[in-house]
Amino acid sequence: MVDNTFFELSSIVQSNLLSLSDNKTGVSLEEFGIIIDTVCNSLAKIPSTDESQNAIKQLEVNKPLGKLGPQRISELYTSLSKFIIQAASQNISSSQLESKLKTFNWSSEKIDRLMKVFLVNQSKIQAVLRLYGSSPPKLVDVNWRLDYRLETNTRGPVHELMYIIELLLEDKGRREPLTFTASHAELEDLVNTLKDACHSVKRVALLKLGLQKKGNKLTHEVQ
Amino acid sequence: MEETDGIIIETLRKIGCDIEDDVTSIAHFTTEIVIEGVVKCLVSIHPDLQLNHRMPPNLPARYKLCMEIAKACKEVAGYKGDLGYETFLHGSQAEIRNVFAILIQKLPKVNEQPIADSIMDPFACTMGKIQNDILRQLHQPWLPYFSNPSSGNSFPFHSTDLSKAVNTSGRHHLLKLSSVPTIQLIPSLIETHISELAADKYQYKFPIKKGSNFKREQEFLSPAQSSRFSLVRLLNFTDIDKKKKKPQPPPKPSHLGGAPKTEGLPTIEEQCQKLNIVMENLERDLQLRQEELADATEEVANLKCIIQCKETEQDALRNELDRQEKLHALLPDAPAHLHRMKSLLESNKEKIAALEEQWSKIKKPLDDEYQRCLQLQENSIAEKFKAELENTVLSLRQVVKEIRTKEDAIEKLQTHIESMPSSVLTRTFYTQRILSIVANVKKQNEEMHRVLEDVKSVQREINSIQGKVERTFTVTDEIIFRVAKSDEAARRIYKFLISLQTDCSDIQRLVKESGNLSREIKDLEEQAETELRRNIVPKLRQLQIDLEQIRQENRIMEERVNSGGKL
Repeated sequence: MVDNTFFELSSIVQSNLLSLSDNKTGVSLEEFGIIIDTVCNSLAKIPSTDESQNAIKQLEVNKPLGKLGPQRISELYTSLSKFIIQAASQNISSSQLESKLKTFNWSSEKIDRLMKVFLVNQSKIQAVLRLYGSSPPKLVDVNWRLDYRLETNTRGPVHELMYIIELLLEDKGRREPLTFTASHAELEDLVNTLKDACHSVKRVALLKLGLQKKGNKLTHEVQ
Repeated sequence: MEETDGIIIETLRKIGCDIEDDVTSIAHFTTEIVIEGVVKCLVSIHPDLQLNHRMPPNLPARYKLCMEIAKACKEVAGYKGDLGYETFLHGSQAEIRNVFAILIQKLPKVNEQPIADSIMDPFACTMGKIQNDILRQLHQPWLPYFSNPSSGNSFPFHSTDLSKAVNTSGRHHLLKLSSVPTIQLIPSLIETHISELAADKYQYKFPIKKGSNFKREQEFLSPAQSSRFSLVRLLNFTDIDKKKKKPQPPPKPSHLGGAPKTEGLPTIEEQCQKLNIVMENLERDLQLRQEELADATEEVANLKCIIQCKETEQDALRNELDRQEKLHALLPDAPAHLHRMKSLLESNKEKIAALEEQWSKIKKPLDDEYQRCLQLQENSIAEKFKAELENTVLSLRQVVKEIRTKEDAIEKLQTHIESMPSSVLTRTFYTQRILSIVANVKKQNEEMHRVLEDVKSVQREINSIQGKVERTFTVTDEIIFRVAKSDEAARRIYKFLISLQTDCSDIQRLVKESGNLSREIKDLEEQAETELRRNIVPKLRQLQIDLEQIRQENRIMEERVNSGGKL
C-alpha cells in the first residue's frame, strides 16, 4: 500500500543528497562508505546514556573525512540519517529505494553500497524506531470482589451490594494496582461504554473512505 | 479557451493533482504543475509506467524526466506531432493545451479513476493504513500479558531543536550535533525533517515567480515561518541546552572587599549589567507593544462590527430610497395612476369575492357529505350496540327463569326427602348387599372353574397312565411270549403277568363303575331332594280325598239316575 509518493523528503535533504554526486563538491566512495556505515550503525544501536560511544564525535576525528570539513560532514550526516529513518519507517521496498536513489544521480557503486548497508540494518533500525514513543500504563489483570454492605456510619443500615474492582496496570515493568468501587449499574455502564468503544473501532475499521477531496471532510467529521 | 482550460483543470483535479483554486487558466500553470499533471494522466492511462511526478531539482534530471514523459506520451497516448522536453519545460500555452487535451481524451473511464484517487490522496492512504492495522489487530487472538513480545516503548520521544544549529557558524555545528544525547538524536532528526517538509509545503503554496522577487519572498517567509512554528517548537522541542542562569551573588560592598580585584573584571561585570538592563527594557517594550497590538485588534474587531451594522442600515435605507423614487416617478401622472390603482383595487376585490363564492360552492356539498357519512357511521355503530344490548337482556331473562324453576324443584325434592321415613334399608345398604352377593357369586364361579380344571387334569392323568399301562403290557407280553416258547420260568412269568394284567384291568373297571354309581347316587339324591321339596304328599292326600268325594257323588248321581229311570 505504501506508495512512492509518500516517501517525501524535504528540499534541504534532497539538495544535500544530490550534492553527494556532484563532481565539484562530491564525496568519494570511501568517504561515502564511512559516513553510511556510521549512520546505519548508530541508527541500529539501541541508544544508551553512555556518551563515550558517540559516533559523531568519532566522525569528526576521522582523518579521511577531514577534507570535507565538519559542517559538510554534519550536513551529510543529518541528511543521510533523515533519509534512512524515512526509508525504514515507510518500510520501503528495495526497488522503490533504488528508483528513488537514481533520481539523485548517484553512481551505481554508491547506490549498491547504500542498499547493501541499508538492507543489512533495516530490521534493526526499524526495531530501534519502534522503541520511541510514549505509552500509558497497560491493563494486565483484573481482580474483583463483591461485598454486601450492612451498615455505614454515615448512612446507617444500608443493605446494598458493592463491587470492589482492582485493575493491575503495568508501566515499564512496574505493577500498579488501581482500586475502585462501583455499584452493579455503574459496572454495567462501564462495560457498555467499553463495548461501544469496541464497536466504534470495528466501525472505523470497516468504514469506506470517501474518495473525493470533499469526501475527506466528511470522514474527518466521522472521526 | 477559458472553458477548455476550466475542463482541463477540473479533470486534473479529479485525477489528484494539487492545483490551487487561484489557477484558472493554463497561463497560470507552472512547470511543476504541468509535469505533475502530465505524469498523473499518463499513470492513470497506463498504470505500469514508473514516472516521478515531482520535478527533481537539478536540470539534467529534469531533462531526463521530460524526455521520458515525451516518449511515454508518444507511445502510450499516441501523440502525433513534435514533442520534446522543451514542450514541458518551456512550452507555449497552445502546445500545453494540446497535450492535455489529447491526454485527457485518452483517460480511462470514470469507474477506473477512483483507484488513482485513493493512491494519490495522502489522507486516504493513511486512513487505509490505520484501517488495515486495526483490522489486523482485531483479528489477532488475545494473548496474556506475559507472552506479549512487544512490551511498551522504552524511550520517550524527546527532541532537541537542531535547527538552531543550522544557522550558527560552521564551527559549532558538529559540536552541537554530537552534544545531543543519543536518546534524543533520532527524535530530533525526525522533528527537523518534518518541519522542513512543512516549510517546503508552505513555501510551495505561494506562487514563486521567477526573478528578483524570489529572495525577497523568502526573507518575508522566514519570520512568518518562525512565528508559524513557534508554538510547535514550544510543544515539541524540549530545550535542554538552555543553561540555567545562576543567581548572581550580591555585589560585595567595596569597603569589605578583601584581595584587590583585577582591573579587567569590573568592566565585564558592568557590561553584563548594562546588557541586562537593556534586555529588561527591551522586554518591557515588547510587552507594551504586544498589549497595544491586542488593543488594536480589539478595536479592529469592534469597528468591523460597526461597519457591518452600518452596512445593513445602508441596505435598508437604500431600499427605502428606491421605493420613494418609484413613488416620485409616479407623481407627475398622479390622477391617472390613482384612478388606475383604484380600478385595480376594485377588480381585486371583485376577484376575491368571486373566488370566495366559488370556494363556498365547492365546500358546501363536500361538507354535507362529510357530515352525512359521519352520522351514518355513528348510527351503524349505535345500532350494533343496540342489537347486542337487546340480545344480552333476553338471554339474561331466560337464564333468570331457568334459575327460578330449578330452585323450586330443589325445594320440592328436599321437602319430599324430609317427609320420607328414614329406614335402615337405604340405597347404600342394598347396593352393598348386591355387591357382596356379586362377589360371592364370583368366588363360587372361580371355585367351580378350579374344581373343573382339577377334574380335567385328573382325567388326563388317568388316561395317560392307562395308555402307559397298556403299552407296557403289550411290550412285556411280546417279550415274554418270545422267551416263553423256550423257557419254563418265562411261561410261568407269562402266566403271572397275564393274571396281573387281567386283575388290574378288573380293578380299573370296578373303580370306574363305582365312580359312575356314586355319581348316579348323587343325582338320584338330588332328584329326591327336589321331589321332597315339592311337598307332594299332603297334596296327594288332598287329591285322593277329593277323588273319593267325587266318586261318591258320582255313585250317588248314578243311583239317582238309576232310581229315577226305574220309576
